[in-house]
Amino acid sequence: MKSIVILITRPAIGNGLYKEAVDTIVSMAIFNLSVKVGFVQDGVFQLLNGFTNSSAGVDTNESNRDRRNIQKRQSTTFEELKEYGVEELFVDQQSAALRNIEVSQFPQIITWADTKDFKKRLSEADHILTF
Amino acid sequence: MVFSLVVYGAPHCSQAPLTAFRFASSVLSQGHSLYRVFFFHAGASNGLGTISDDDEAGKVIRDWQSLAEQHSLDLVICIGSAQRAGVKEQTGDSVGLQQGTLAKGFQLAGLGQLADAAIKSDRLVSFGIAS
Repeated sequence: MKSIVILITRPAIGNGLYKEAVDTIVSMAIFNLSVKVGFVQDGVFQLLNGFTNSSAGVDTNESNRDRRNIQKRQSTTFEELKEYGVEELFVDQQSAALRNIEVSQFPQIITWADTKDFKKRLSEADHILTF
Repeated sequence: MVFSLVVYGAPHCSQAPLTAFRFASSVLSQGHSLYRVFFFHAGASNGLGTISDDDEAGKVIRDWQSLAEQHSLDLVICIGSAQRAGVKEQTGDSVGLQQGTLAKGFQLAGLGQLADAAIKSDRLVSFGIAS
């Protein structure tokens, strides 16, 4: 079985990559690839507990905000990816520390990876895709 | 060695498609095989057949078409990204014909084709960090 690491490097706001990344992760998992998802640089913001589109002040329209809150509750979405066969969600410890984010602000399901662990996961993968 | 490429960049605002094209040409000239080229996210614009030949972006698209014709390449545009980029196939019925914008030599397909490329290829190389 081929293995792939999907790297999330951008925040969920300001670009359309969040949906593309989730769709790709699900597709890869469905096709029986061994999938791990890594969060690095500003991508760590996507995993913050309670982060929604409205908390970023993106949309002030009430009905749109309610609808998008469901779509953009990132940490919950990523947690649910395990149901699709995603093996691991891991966060670059250094990226989080640089942004003053602590372990308690992430869902419990994630793995905390220091630089050495992070590199190990990348070197073990057959393919890497970056979003 | 079997390669597949993922192109994230649009031809009118990114160097990625041209770099990917040059990489693909080198891969083929050195006797390797190219299983698939997958145009994703903004890269879906590479499948726009309506871009003028006089434009640099149009030239890159023609280069891809020419290479695909010579080597029977599989040039796939992500169908979800294509919708956002205005790339669509020609559709018709007894009532009328809807003009398509998909360039000749390209085809629209889902993310399953990307997963398949990851499984069948030794190397999956991406061009143009998604933005």
